[in-house]
Amino acid sequence: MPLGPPPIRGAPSSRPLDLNLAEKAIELVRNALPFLTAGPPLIDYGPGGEVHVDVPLMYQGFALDRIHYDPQLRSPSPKGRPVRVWGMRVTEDEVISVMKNVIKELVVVEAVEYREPELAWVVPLAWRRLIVAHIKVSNDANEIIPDYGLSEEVRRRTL
Amino acid sequence: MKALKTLTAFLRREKFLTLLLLIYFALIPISKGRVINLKKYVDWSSIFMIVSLLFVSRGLELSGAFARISEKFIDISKGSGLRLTILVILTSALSAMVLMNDASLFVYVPIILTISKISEINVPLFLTLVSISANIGSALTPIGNPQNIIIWQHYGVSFLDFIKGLAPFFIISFVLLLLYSLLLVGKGKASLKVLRPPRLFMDKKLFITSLSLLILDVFLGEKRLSYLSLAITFATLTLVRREVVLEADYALIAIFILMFADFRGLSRVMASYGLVPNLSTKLSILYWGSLLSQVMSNVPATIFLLDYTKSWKALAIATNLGGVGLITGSLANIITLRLGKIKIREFHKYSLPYFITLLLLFTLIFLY
Repeated sequence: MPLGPPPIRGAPSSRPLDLNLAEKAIELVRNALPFLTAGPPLIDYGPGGEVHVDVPLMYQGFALDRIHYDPQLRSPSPKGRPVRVWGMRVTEDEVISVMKNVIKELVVVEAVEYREPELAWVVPLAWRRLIVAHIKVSNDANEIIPDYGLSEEVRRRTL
Repeated sequence: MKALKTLTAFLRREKFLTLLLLIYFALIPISKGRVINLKKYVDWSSIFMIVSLLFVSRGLELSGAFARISEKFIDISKGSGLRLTILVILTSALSAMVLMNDASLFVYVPIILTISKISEINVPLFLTLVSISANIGSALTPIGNPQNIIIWQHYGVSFLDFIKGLAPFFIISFVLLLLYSLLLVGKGKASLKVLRPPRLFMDKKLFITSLSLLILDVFLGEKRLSYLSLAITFATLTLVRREVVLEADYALIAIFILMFADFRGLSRVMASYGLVPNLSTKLSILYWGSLLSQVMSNVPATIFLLDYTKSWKALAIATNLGGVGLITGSLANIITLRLGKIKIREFHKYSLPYFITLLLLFTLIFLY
């Protein structure tokens, strides 16, 4: 039997959305930018000797997103490209010193996406020409939404 | 081979758990195999209650309700660094009475770091004062910290009697802390810019659920039904926000279980050789409890001394007092250091004078 086209899941939204709030969401993230800090680096060594490093982006004690770190280049890797390197040792101090400067250079991208299932705006953050993180903002563009799972992971690593 | 490497990587990351495991394995031959029978050493009622309250505290913390307090601080302080210090010390102590003291610090240390970005405050001083305040505040209630939960469950003290018993300790320590803060912060008198960081999302459903579970846990803890409290807490929080339970720090739970096996095991092995600490007077409990806490942290010290005294109040005062002072005194101190990224020397510069003064004060109180 011939295969049909892939099914379309979910129905298009019928909820009204005030698109002017996109500007407000961007502004909210821009105001939060000076308060962002780098959390403890999440350095993981795999059984094959590979190392993978992510740095949580923290805001008032909550993690908002993780920034992938490239240990070879000693700089962030774009979102969607986690880096694994073999045969390298990475120190926390090294990652923190690099990320402190990276966070100072973060800029808010002047465009947003909207995630209907999460009822949230998503504002990208860029470092130089790379999008390195996404910040979620509530539907009404008044509040910043943390990444709860990542916040828990950061806490585990802190203890 | 791969599994062994993964296990090695895990144990390298969980240094404290590894240390406790090594002590446990060392104790097996010394105790002639007795510590293998965990039933005799681990107070499961305390463990269930600690785990349940860890989940609830985390639920309250993750709800974002406490982060909202930072906005109020900045409004009420009206630019005065001294007023801000008093406010933060007061609220962190109050929060630590209901949240666990470590959860309270996970809330307040980031708030202080945020404030430090908009004002010229002495961060190490501020963080040390808040760490002391969370330790002192948590001493008042049976649910404030793990050693109080253990004492509450082990001695079968009622919730209200515990608070009545520890109230004088809390009042004296807190007044001393306020005077100490005035002395140290008064010199700087930092001024603040009135700048408000954007709000974090507050999960009202999680807040209400966690608060209700906290009340239920206290009720079930009083009835010595901590296993039921853990089951209900686990199930409810899994439904409301699964990250609270699924992403929880299970290594920490294993640490608490091993603490019982190790330190109770050690205390019984020592007793079998006649090496029993003399806890016949309140003063000896004060010194054993507080100084042992300085060396091995206050939760292991509580477990170590649990079988040697019937005076729960003196033990609670001693181990809560022992939580301040050296960085090793309590887990809360280590959290402050790790989150705040301050130096151990800076922490001790402010915490040790307070600890010594408080210890001398209670020596006089216990003597007369």
